[in-house]
Amino acid sequence: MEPGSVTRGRAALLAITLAAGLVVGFVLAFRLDEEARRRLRKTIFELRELPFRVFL
Amino acid sequence: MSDRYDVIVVGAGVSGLTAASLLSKHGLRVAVLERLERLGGCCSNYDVNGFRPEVGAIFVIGHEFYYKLFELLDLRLEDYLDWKVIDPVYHVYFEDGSAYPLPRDIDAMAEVVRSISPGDVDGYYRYCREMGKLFDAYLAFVRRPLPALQDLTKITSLARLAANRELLYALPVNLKLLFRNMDRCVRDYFRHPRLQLMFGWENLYAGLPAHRCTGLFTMMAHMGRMGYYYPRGGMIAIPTALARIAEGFGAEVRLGAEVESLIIKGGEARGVRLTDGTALTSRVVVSTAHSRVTYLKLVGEENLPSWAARTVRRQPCSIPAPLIHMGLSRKLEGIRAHMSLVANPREQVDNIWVDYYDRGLLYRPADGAYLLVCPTFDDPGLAPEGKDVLSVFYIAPYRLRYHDWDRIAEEWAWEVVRFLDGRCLPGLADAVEWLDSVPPTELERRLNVAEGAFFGIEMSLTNLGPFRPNYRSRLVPRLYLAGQCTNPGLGVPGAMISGVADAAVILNDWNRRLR
Repeated sequence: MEPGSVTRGRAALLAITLAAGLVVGFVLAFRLDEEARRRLRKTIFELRELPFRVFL
Repeated sequence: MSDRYDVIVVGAGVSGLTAASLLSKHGLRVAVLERLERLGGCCSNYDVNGFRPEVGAIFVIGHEFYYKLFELLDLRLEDYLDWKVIDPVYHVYFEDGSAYPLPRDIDAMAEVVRSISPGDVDGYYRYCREMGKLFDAYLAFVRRPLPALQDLTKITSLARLAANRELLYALPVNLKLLFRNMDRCVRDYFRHPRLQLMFGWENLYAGLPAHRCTGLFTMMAHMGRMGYYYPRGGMIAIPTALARIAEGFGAEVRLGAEVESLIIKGGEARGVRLTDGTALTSRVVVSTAHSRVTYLKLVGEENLPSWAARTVRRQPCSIPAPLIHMGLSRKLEGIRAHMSLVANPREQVDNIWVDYYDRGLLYRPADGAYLLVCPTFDDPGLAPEGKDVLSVFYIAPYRLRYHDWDRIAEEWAWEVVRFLDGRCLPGLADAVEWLDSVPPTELERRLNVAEGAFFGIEMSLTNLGPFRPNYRSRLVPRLYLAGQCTNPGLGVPGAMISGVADAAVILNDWNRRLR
């Protein structure tokens, strides 16, 4: 077996895992009710803002 | 050229006057500038034809902290303020016409619990025991003698103050409440929905619904049992006392002096410019305004990095607390306590947030929840002889999707009055002699608070502690912040603590970097 083929296999596995994760994430997100979606959006917003708030 | 003042404090609210009194006691030349013609900011009363309703703050929680402040000032609180304990804590009106007083006495309250749901009495006593542990830890904290003001902000001093046996006993309860929301905590103690509502609505003071609010707020109902206090003369008595103290130590308190902007020299705050064009220089500026007002208006976006202006603008505000103030031509029999809650079933109260508030909608008055405050119940001097003052607090969004607050405020207020007349206060509509509807937009204009949120920045975990604007501004040297938008936030004692902390930080910085 050539050394390069193992790397390609791992890369493909990684890509498939990421894609599957995205699909599962989207499915879960779409199944959330309105309140849970609001909380998710708010959490993402807050996490993004947190590092900046420390420097005010 | 020497500076005219050592410290200029923008805003004569509780935090500003606390900082001013402590700093002037320590020999600094202090000026306090207030935009309005009255003291107190959100902790004040205004006067219309002898009716003196509260502007925002309605009672004092944690009055022990005031004694600590007076300890730092080497003064006796009794010489300046006269407290009255609020009892019953609340009177609750339910949708079916039933009403319950919520007395302070723990056993008397147990009888109220028994009359609603006998099976919840054990849960009530468990609630009292567990909250009592937290309260004991708080009392042990506030009863310790304070170190010198300059040492107050040191970690070692704070740790020494906080380290006590009671805190250790309270730790399991503390952790349980911290990592659960308030809704879940209340359900843990009470099964009957009415009791869940009675012990689980004070999240409104945090500006969050019970399912989004930290369980630590479950403690609030117990704090009421331990004592909510009301100063004689109304809430304005507190800033009036602090202004008297500050002036006694040599500070200058100016009313009607609106600050237009800060004087920024070499990137540092070196004074203020008033709207009449006067420039006042100082070594330090303390701003007690909302962080958005301080940074975006007084400092100016041009003096801030773009990321900072964006972060300040985006930091979420607490909810607005719109009000309807009324002067009543006679005393109504239906008013049976200083504070009353008019409520619907618990799910309906919680759904106000999801169904209306988040969507920018205004509900029909019958679907709302209202806190009625009658300060003349404990201090008749706040209205002309034989008359009453009544204020109604409710939940409503700052921006309405389909309406303009300025157009509908009056009409909406009268709808609420008619609803309350029918539900629990017969004769109210006829007794209204004077009415002032203060929607969030008007609150913003009157008090200069962003989005009409006089609780300042949202009281969520990601907006507390290091994530709240710092006492010593990290963006503008020589600028210090105090008030509801800094730590710890929430209410009059919170504002007072921020004033103490600011004074401590400034005194520590004075010799090192401010001279």
